[in-house]
Amino acid sequence: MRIGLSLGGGGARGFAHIGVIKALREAGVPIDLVNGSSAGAVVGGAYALYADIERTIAKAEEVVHTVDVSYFNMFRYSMESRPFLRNWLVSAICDLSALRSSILSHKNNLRALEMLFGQYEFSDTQVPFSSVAVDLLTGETVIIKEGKLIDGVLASTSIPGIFPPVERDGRLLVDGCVLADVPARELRQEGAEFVIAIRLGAEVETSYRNGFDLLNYVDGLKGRELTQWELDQADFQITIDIPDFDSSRFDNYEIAIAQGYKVTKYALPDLERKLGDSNV
Amino acid sequence: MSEGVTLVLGGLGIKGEASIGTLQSLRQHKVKIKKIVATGISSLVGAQFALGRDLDLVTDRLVRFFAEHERYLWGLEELGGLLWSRRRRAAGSFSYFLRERLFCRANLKRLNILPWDLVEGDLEESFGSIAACQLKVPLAVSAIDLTRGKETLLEEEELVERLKAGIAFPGLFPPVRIGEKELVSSSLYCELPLGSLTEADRPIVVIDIPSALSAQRPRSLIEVIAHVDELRGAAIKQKFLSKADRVFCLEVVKGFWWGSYRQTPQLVSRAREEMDKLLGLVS
Repeated sequence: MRIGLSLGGGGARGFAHIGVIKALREAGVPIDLVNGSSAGAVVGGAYALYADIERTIAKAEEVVHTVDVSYFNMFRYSMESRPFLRNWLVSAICDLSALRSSILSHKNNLRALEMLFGQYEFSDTQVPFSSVAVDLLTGETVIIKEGKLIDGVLASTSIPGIFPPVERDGRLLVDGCVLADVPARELRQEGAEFVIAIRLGAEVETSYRNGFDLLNYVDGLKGRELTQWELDQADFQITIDIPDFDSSRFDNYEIAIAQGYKVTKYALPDLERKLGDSNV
Repeated sequence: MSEGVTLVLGGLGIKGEASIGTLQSLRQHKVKIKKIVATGISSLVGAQFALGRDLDLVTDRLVRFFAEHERYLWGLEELGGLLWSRRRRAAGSFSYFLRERLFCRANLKRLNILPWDLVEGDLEESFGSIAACQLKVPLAVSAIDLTRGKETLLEEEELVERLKAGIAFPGLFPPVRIGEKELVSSSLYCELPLGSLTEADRPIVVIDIPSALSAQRPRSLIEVIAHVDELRGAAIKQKFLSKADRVFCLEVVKGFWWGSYRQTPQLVSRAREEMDKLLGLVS
């Protein structure tokens, strides 16, 4: 039976996936294929390429200490705590929004992904791997499993509004989290017979100050509903909650890794029982 | 089927008016309805139907309402102040329109584009004195409860408050507070309010008043975000439709856009013709 690991998105929370994989490998749980959306694609791709969790951790640390990949989601910051920054961002974005498709460019992301994946291709990975993105033109999820890893993962990490969509093969690709936060269904399509889904818990922002916040709130609820739909396709799911963790800052990665490890260790007896029931 | 069906009515923005034609057709074909579940303008239409009122008069009333208040609704059809390219985009996407209207320095502080004063008088006049027991068919209005972050069905609340919650499109009107709940319309969450329905509601008959997904390639930041919003809405609708026992899709009204209130009579008559045709095929 082929065991697949489906890794969800969640910005800097994605480091928790490293802890998850470490705990699974220590327990001897085989990982026959991996996929992921957004941060899940980054970590999944790195693990699939090196098939060595210590090397994956070392690479991740190197990237974090070399490239500043933190981003600010301005709508999440309150007027009280960051008045200047928020107002500045709002003004800048208002001025530029008619011209630009995003707040930030891919410049830093590309540097980080280049350090992580170099010129390796999907076919070079030691564990079969696919990243998941969404095509804005057709509204379909797209499974990317060919070409350079850096290109496939970049498309999967293009958070709409924050980073520009990626053009590829006549498609306009954005973050897989738009429709498939934890792409369990897509992993099943890839041949996984037992899907372990890892969701990075993040509550929908419930406070609002203006109509724009309200629209984003409702959009967040849609995302949550769609995530649940995907999770229903998994055989086993683990949710990693990291209290008070800021998904847009990547410098606290050790906390996320430790939490991923701890939660997975706790879930292992149930997982092993489920795997036993499935004759794995 | 002897008890009748649970009828689900949706439609984004003005397109909910197509429910008038649909309900006229269902009434003519004597389809037994045990409960109406609606959101947006469909909830207003559903309430009129549930009270046994003449739906032709409802059409006239809506036409009159929009004519009287046209100067307040400057944004809904004329889209004044927008560049031509953005106007086209706004006409195609309710989500884009709301974001475009709210997304500028002056407006980012605003919670809503239209005030409740605009509609409260008419709502009170039509439904203010109505007790729940006067409804010949139970009416459940779907809304998003912001305090719990969930879609919810309003079945017991005072009718006017229920209907306000149904049309409180986020960003267009302010949220409605009923007791502990703070509510907005679920239309932008899912065009069809199927999320809270259970086995007990079967057989579930859905009238799908589809929206055409924006065909234009999203370019600016707001266009991208609004497009994502629409894609998610379409995906959720697709998921929820699996709950339905029967779906009547009014493809002919797909071309109408969410804010075309001047086309109310045409929208209603096209919906009625189509529904007659679909029911004719069934029988």
